Amino acid sequence: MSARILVADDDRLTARFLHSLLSEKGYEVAVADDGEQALELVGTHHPDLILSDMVMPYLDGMDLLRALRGDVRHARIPIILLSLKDREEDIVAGLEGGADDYVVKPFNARELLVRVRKLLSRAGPS
Amino acid sequence: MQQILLTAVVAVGALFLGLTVLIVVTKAWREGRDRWRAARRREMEPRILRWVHGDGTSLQVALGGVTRGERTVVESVLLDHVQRVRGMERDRLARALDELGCVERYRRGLQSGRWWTRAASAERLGMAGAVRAARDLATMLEDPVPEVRIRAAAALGAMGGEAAVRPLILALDEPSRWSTIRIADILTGMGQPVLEELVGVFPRMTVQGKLAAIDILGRVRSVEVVDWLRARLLNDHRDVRARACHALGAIGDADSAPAVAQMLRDPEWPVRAMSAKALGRLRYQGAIPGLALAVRDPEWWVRANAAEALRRMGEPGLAALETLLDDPDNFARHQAVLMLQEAGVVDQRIEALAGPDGPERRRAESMLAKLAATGQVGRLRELEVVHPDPAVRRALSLLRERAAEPAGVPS
Amino acid sequence: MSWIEIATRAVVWFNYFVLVYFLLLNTLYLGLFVVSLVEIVRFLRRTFFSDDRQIMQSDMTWPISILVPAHNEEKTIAETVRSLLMVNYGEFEVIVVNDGSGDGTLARLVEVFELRRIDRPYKRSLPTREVRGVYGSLVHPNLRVIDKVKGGKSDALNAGINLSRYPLFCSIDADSIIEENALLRVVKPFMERPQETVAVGGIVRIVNGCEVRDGKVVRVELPDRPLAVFQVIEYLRAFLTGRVGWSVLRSLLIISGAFGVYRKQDVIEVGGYSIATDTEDLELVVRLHEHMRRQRRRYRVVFVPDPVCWTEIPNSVRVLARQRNRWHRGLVQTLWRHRSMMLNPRYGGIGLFAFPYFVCFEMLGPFVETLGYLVVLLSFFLGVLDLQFLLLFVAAAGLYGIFLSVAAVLLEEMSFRRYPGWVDLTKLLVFAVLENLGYRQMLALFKVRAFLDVVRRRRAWGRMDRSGFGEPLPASADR
Repeated sequence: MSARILVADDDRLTARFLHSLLSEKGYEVAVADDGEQALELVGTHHPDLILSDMVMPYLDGMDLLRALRGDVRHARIPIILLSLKDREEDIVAGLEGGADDYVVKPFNARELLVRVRKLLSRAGPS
Repeated sequence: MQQILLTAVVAVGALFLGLTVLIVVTKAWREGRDRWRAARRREMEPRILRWVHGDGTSLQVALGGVTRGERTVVESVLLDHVQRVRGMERDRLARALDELGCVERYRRGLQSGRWWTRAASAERLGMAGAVRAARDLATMLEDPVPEVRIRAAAALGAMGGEAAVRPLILALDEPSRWSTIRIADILTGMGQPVLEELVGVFPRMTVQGKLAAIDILGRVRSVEVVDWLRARLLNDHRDVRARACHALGAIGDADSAPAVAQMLRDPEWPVRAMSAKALGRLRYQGAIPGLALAVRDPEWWVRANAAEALRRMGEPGLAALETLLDDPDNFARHQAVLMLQEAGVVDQRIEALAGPDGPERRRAESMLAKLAATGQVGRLRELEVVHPDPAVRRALSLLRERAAEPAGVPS
Repeated sequence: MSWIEIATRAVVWFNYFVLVYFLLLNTLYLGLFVVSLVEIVRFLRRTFFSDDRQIMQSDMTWPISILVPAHNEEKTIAETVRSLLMVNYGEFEVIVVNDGSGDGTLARLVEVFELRRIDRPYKRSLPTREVRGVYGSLVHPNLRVIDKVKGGKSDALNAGINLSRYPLFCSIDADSIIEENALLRVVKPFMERPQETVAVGGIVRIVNGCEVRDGKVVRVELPDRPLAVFQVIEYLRAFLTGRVGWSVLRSLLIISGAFGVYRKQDVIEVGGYSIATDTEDLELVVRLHEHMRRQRRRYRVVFVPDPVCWTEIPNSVRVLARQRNRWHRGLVQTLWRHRSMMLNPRYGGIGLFAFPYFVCFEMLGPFVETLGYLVVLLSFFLGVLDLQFLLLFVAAAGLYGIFLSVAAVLLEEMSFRRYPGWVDLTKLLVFAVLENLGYRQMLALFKVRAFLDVVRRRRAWGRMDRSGFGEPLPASADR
């Protein structure tokens, strides 16, 4: 059974790119346009990993992190933050907020795949 | 006479009808074209992306040939994605653009008579990472139109490398301030490789260029340039000294702090203000006495920055601020109250009022008494009414009454 | 010559005068339109390359203080402030000025944003009515609220200016919605020429009929009610073909009170907002022009058609009448106050063109128009005028006007295209035609009335009393 990944990004182009990239490698990918939708999809799709942008309408990356980490059902899902913000403060804030990894955009696709694979294998079979 | 006017009327009427037709026709045409393009894109984009993720050599082969009409669609897909990724996939996207002939078209576009074509071409060359166009782009840095210059600078910034850094630094001497800012941003984004060049070109730059250069050095935050920046603290020009202070604060190297602290005594106020600000960021406690003096500076910015710096220093800084509460200088007292409030110290002391009698409570009472004497009692009054603990409220009322008594009367 | 002959002669001359007036007016509009057209095309090309992200992330972008004067806005103030705090911009602060609200505006703010009193000392550069307290929030460090005694919108703005700590301030109406990237775009002229730029205005668009979710305009649609659609056309014409043109000619006299950004230091230098007129925004800009020109300083007041502020417009004729009455009163008061600029070469293009234009066509024009329609129709029916002349008149006044309204719609279609659908386009075109057959005439009547209002109350120059910053009650002159 292939792992399920949720991509949350309001930038449609990035979302399409990630969808294509991850589907190629055999993952099942769902896409959310904003934080609110992402939260909904977590509840219905039960992803094994989440790739989320930091800046989104309605509920941004940090809020999403907080919501997920605060919920016992979803607290263990590995989350990779993907963001344009490359300031030290934002990266530290993201990681301290509970993200497992932080990738700055523009990102390196192959690198990202490796990180995804590692986190998924660490988390173990769902 | 009437005839002429009548023909004029008819002409206007015709123009009006013509306008309406024009609107309708262009709208219809544009919508049709956009719809077609969107449909082609929906179909082609997944295939293009699949090629990008794979390892086929030619995109055109993978797509089975690209018609002329489709070329624009493919180009926009490639351009959209090439900005969003790095590494191998980006190289593939760039190569596909080249294969499609786009890169050559952009290079030709740099020679166009229309400035927006030149600017768009420059921008796209940057996106496509066309290193071989670096020299052409460097020439565009002197284009008469600022928009073109900025795009060329951004393109060079995106490409990076030595060929790009030099011309960009020279362009910092731009007449247009906005362009200078943009170029400074671009250079900052390029990081380390820029530092040596900047330091080398520095003596020959205009003042504006020099200031931009110092800012960049501060933002790139490399410890390598700290010594050089320290030397700038002795520059003749006050703005250069001030910016050097600011940059040293941004870099955060503790060794530079004593030199920055010296600038608290500079005759020019912008330098003093920046020095205070930098000391706050550096958290250099040795500067606390100097900062406490600076809180009485005649210039508002210096006072505000000095008080803020003290606040940032934690306990010893806050202690210094407390001693300023009954300072003879009006402004110093004001700033002290404000900073103590923002640091939450005032609220803390108010809580201690309800605690057991002892040194801590007495310290709180003494500090709050001084605070009440400054007259900035808004928060005290507010809590006197809304604080949940009646003991605290009573203590605050008592405080107010005592403050109202003339000095000298025993409490 | 007999009495009747003289009277007839006079009427005929008057008819010709009205005809010439309309020809002149519409030709001036045409000229402005052409200038605007060129500028918008140029603008579109430049902003094809979006700088938004760079401006937002750059450390060098000037920070802005957003001032929100509020009076009895209990219901909506929390949402407004929340959406302002989330605006797309680097460094900024939001200062809400509670102007002696009688309802729970302040209480609501304190509750929602966890406000507490702070004793921040600040320089009272401008005189205002008593400030009762300043509030801040630890949770939202860039939010401040001023609680003061009621003094009106100008007074509230001045208090906000006093407290603000950034070099630029933006005045916003409490019930308007600024678009996401609007601040980034409206600040660009300041970044390009920081020493010269004094004030920048953005475009105001109509939110009636649009879908709004969470403080953002999610879908743009034309309103249903005809009165509202007429106003949409009017705003398009006024902004896209009017203000762009004036801005290019360096004679922009109006920056909308709903959305304008000013350089604080200059506004303080001229004394801040004045309480002497009904339209404080217009008066401030005119005063800035006067001051700058008198000082012979290089400066510019710019209109940028891109950044949008969505605002609600009156839905009923009564409220519309009151609003236009106030606007026109303010115009008359402002023009009178600064009458020394009229035809004064010392004030350059403004003194020689813009000011006289406003006096002759905007202020006195409605009289000529209203009288003109009546007299011409009367003349025709009394046989003083022949059919040809009447047709000419209809062409000069009606057709020409229609042409210009349609031209504005064209400009919108070419550039920003906020109303993308075909239905909307048809509606716009139809109403552009109808606008000149009743709506404009109605507005002219409002303006005539407003002018007479001002003249009759000449002794009490002050503003009429307003309940809140909404539309004035028909109260007697106050203060």
